Amino acid sequence: MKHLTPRLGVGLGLRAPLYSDIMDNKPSIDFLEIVADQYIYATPEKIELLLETGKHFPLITHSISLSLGTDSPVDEDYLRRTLDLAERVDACWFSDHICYVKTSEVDIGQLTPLWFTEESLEVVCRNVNQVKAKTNRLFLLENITYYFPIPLNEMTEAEFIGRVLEKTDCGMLLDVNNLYINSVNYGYDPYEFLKSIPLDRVVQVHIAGGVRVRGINVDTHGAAVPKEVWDILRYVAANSPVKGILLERDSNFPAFQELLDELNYARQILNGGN
Amino acid sequence: MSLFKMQSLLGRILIDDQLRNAFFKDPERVFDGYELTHREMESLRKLDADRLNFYASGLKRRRIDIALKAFPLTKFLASDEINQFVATYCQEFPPTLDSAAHALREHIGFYQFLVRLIADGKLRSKYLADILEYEKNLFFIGNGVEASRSASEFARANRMLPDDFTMELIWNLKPTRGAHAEASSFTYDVIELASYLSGREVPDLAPKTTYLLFSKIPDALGVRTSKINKATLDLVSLCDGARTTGAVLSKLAGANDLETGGDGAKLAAACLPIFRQLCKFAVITFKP
Repeated sequence: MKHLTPRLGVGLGLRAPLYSDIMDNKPSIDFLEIVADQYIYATPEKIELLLETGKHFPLITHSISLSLGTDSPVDEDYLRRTLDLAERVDACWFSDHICYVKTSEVDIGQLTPLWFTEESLEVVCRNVNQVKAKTNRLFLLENITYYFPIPLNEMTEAEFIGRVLEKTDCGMLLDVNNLYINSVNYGYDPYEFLKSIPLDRVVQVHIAGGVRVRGINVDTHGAAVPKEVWDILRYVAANSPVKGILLERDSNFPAFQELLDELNYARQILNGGN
Repeated sequence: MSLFKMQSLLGRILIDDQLRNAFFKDPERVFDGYELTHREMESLRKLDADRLNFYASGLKRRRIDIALKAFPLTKFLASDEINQFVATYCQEFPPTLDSAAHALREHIGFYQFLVRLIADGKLRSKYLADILEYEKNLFFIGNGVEASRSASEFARANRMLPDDFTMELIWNLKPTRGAHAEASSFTYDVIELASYLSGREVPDLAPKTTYLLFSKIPDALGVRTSKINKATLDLVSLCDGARTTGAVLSKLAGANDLETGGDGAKLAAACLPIFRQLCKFAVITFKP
């Protein structure tokens, strides 16, 4: 990766219920991540408010629906809007997921796992290159949580991700909670996973908490960050050039101080402390 | 091309309960027409039914969660009842390919679905029709790009009119309400009701017919909500851009609420300040 990426520090996902607390605690939050899908079809007034917010925080954009794993070209209109938004907020980087969310017939509406095969690898790389051909901005790819595996993979998820990153020369948005949840649900060692991916490509990290439903760990972004995720984060921070750690909290909002405490803890880890 | 077909089939299996059941009963019949390779078919045959059902169930739940974000008070009032209809909604309103405003599509579909459930008497709360209409107006007027554009246009156009315009000036013009304004009637005092529900309390209110005018505030976030009387509601409803101010007043002349005794001059005098106020808030504009 030839991009010079600034170190953003520790940030929070911008969500409407958190807005006033975020604005009241600017010194404790280094940057904000916005879900692009909430803005690319928004009113001019909502965009204006976002740009106003951007005067106080660096903003980065995170989209959900590029559907990079769908075996057809990326939706040009959605891509254009996504890139326009990143441009308007002057995002240091933008990101989406290694998965698919729609097919030629239906919008599945959720991040759905890929079949880890050579053919899927070609599809993802082709679509990522379609995105990269339209921008010079650094593009990060995120690992997802998945609740069913597709059998007869030709390679592991870690190998698949690593090869996508290398072939497309993208950075990685490593979602540590997704990794932790998958490792629990499928019984593997998350640290072995980390040793199998190019950690030198990790630019941003997501942390969050989830819940256990019917024996399956689920990524809800609605609970405190668990100890295991902090432990993995510590390993990642020590072994990769992380530029930003982002706390995702989408529901079941606690007192804001609890989120600030989590941000402070993440900051200690990013700075090499415990 | 084969992966394309495999993804198409898996996508349908995930969102269509009947197809999923048929697939786990007899996958070979479902494969017909998809031209999959042996390896792709073998992979799909080995899918874990429990895990897939778990995921598919989560997809439905997620759709309702997204839809209800537009209607938080409705959710508070009837969440348990609504949960009984999750599968019905997902079956009757299957997700379609329309990446533009995925969430907005869900809000609209679910609103239509709830309106029908209420009309069919399947949701019990006496407040539900009111609160849903109230939240629908707030959400779609407040978040719609078309409403935003319309409000800005109307405000710009109205700046060309003097604040104290006369009835003569507008008599042959056509008062027009935009996509950013909606006048609705309610069985209960919905402002008071919403206040209670926002405080997580379900009150016991007596019926009290209430009329509200919702309008996007031009070039700013937010929706202006004004209590109006029946006559103003009627007047706003007649501002459809199809008739002149004179024709609107003629239509209104028979309305008892105005208490003008059918006197055209009195009616015009009563309506002029209302027109001015509606223009000031950019609810309407006058078109040739």
